Amino acid sequence: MLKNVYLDAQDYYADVAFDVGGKTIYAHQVMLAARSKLFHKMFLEKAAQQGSLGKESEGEKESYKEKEKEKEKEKEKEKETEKEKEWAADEIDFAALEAGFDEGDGIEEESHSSHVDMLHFTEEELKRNTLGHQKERKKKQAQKKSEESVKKDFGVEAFAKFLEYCYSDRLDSKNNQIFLEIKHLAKKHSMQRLVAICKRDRVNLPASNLHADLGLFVNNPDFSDIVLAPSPPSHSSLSLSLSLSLSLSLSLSLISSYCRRSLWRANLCMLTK
Amino acid sequence: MAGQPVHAHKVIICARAEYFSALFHSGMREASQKLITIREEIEHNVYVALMSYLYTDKVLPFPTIHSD
Repeated sequence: MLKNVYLDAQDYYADVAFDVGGKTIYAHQVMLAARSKLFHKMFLEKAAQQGSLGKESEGEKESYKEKEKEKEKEKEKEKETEKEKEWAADEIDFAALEAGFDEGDGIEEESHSSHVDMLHFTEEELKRNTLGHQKERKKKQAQKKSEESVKKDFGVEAFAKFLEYCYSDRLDSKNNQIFLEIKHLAKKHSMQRLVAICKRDRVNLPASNLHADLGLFVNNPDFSDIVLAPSPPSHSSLSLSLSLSLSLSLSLSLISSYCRRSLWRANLCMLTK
Repeated sequence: MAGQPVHAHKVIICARAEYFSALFHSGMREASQKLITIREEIEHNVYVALMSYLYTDKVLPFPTIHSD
């Protein structure tokens, strides 16, 4: 059911659009945020940047500020690690990785959407993760060819399938390259079940957690686009009085029309006689 | 619906319940409104339980519902 929603997302209250490799893919923030904390964080940060957090509480705003501070600290750390990276430039081919991202998966913000500059965030996340892995390997191995062979990029089809999984908890593909790209995305988004599916690890496959993830958004104002509110007493009394006056006027008009008809019939009878 | 408002997401409740799908696709003013007024006198926690079912596909134990 939700998979169909994804397929028809453009006509189904889509509030986020990804422009991947020239193709626009529509989706829903709540669905992606429910499945991935990374998406959740990205959407909230973008909403905070756009100043569209009027509905949210002061406490949440403060938490964003704290997150921003943490982010600044992380950036400082990254700068330090970049210096280290320069030392090991011969071993780590980051330029190739960045070039790959710039060419292939430029996920940009649509004019009508409230989505984040996803490329920027995913690239940072990727750098952070890969840097950690590579530092460990650097201690163990001097050769980094195996690392270069790992595909860091993802294409339109892989991203579309990844989003489809977010809606359905299913992955239908026979293409090994797609599996590799989705596995990379799944790792980045900490989606263990999807990683297991990509590895075809049926033994350690966790149970479906789609509805459990969605459960976190029950009566949650985050990304909410509708509020079901009780009718205020004044409004109900007004509507009651309106409906009463409407029914009274209708009945009066019916009675008057009946009287007119009967009078008209009586006159007609008189004329015929 | 007595009490507090309930926050929801159109994409989920429309996908899961025909009632809401019809409500928002009917071309009525509710389709474009963010605030939907529910006139039925339904308890807030009952509505939250309904939403919980729509989101999780599970009926959770609900001790605070009045039997009547």
